[in-house]
Amino acid sequence: MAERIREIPAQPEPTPEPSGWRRLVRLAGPGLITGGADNDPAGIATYSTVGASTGLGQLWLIVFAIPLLIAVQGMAARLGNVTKLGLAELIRSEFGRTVAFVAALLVVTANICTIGADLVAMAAVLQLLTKIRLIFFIIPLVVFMGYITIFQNFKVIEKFMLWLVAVFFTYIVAGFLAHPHWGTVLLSTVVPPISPNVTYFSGAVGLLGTTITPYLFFWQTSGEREERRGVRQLGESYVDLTSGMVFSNVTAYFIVICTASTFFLHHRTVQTAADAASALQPFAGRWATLLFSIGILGAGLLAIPVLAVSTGYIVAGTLGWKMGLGRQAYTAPGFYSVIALSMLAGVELAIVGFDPIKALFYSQILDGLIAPFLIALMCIMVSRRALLGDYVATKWERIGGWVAFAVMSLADVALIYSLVPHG
Amino acid sequence: MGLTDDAREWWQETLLGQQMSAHPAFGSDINVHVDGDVVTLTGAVQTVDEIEEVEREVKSLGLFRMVVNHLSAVHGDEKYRMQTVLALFPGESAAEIARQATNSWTFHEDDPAEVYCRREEAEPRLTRLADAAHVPMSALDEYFEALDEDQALLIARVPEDDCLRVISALEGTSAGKIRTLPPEADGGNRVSDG
Repeated sequence: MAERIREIPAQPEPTPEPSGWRRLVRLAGPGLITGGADNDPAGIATYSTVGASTGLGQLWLIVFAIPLLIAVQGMAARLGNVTKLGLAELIRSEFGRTVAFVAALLVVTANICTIGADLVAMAAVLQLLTKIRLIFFIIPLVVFMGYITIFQNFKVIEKFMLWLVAVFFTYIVAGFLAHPHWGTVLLSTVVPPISPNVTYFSGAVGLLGTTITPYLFFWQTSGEREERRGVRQLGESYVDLTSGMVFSNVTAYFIVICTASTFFLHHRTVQTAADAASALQPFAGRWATLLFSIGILGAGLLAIPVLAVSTGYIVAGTLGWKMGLGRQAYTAPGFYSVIALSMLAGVELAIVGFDPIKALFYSQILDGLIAPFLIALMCIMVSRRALLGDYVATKWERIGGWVAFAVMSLADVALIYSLVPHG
Repeated sequence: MGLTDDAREWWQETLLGQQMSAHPAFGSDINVHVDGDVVTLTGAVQTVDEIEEVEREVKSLGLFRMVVNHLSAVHGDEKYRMQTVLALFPGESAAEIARQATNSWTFHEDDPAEVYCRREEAEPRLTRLADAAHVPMSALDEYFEALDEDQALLIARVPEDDCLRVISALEGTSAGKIRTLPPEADGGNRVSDG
């Protein structure tokens, strides 16, 4: 006989089981949060830069990336759901310490760069709104985010942050109001107009890196196990993550349309946060800056804790420390120290004073270079019957994973090749 | 979803200590104890969903600050399957400490964690568990090798939703490796290890 012991404060009214769309909202778990965090300030900057520099030329890649992203995040969710272990622990256990350390080092480096770049972006929009220098916002932002991540229940707070990120849905309206040539949009969506140059390939690597991004693999795996979903709820996980990934990429698609229509066609580039915000002008007019700032702040408030916590999962999992957001800080000091240190390292990078838009873009290129290595490790693990038994990945999931690996590797090779001077 | 009249009447009579009949929907094996504004439920219902429904009913009365739910399900928790956590330790004493910690973190006294130090002791149980989880026997080789090298193996078989609790208890111990077998196939729901 099973016995469950729970102590729950009594409520005056019973909560009925939700149905329809409310049930879908209730399913919002690590997948939807992952989708929200995927459109972090670095993502917004990357999509804006790609649209401004290559026009509609990479729309096809965003659409093409949706099934690949779902397959990759699905593999991460499957690993967490079935094994109840984190991705870093699994890599250490399946491939040994050396591979685990290399993977951890690469992802932690990229995460810290992204934290630094996201911080600069958040501070830049605050500067845009207040005219106070961005440097004065960086420490308060980190203190606030460190506090909510380490001392408050981030699992609850993150669902509120998601509403702020919903501001980016305005890009969809702005995309229509920018009056792009829809025939060209459609053609660019289905036919890849590849231009073999550095700008195109760095855009492709950055775009893939910000979409299929390594820290989110770790977040998804750990989030899945902390949700305590059983294998019978794997279907729920897929609803959750598919909605998150579609939300993320539809927004990305329209950001590119907006910036292609407002920048690329007029031979302008995105150099500052104010430039990036102006892409919303077709929709928001003089409110574009405010709307963009709210979105960037919401995206940063969601993404930086996710990045820092993922770094905690990676380091703690690799070293075999206690970890988990369900723990109090004093019961997992190593895990929470890594979270705090990664934010501080991000501050260090942020106050060095690099160009925020470039920093955001290059951090995503770094992610794009690292991702294939991790995807390959996950593809191998989800095929191992000794690890997953009957729950090995489906044929389509494995094909999706390997195609993601191949496409990202090809883009990386093409970028490196295009950077090498040819005599 | 509110209370039916029958259910409301049953709860009123029960709380007044006048109840002689079975709950109209969930049977006769529900015991209710009230201590101030805390109500404690004991006994058994048929399914896990019914445990939650009874809890919802009592909460809907709006009379209690706290509901302590000790109800159990006769037909087991069909939402979660049984899963095995395996951890290797450098020696028996470290594994024994971890075993005690693990058992104090779980509610499943019918299937407590156990420590094995010899291959011949562990082999029958491991083989049975691997078979239930549908993993090839080769997945067990590393554990047999570790036992041959005088390491100790802790085996905890718990419902999936308690796996994280067990793994959390093991994290930070001297466990050199913590792994799980996949959740067992149908028929592995909260049954005692056979």
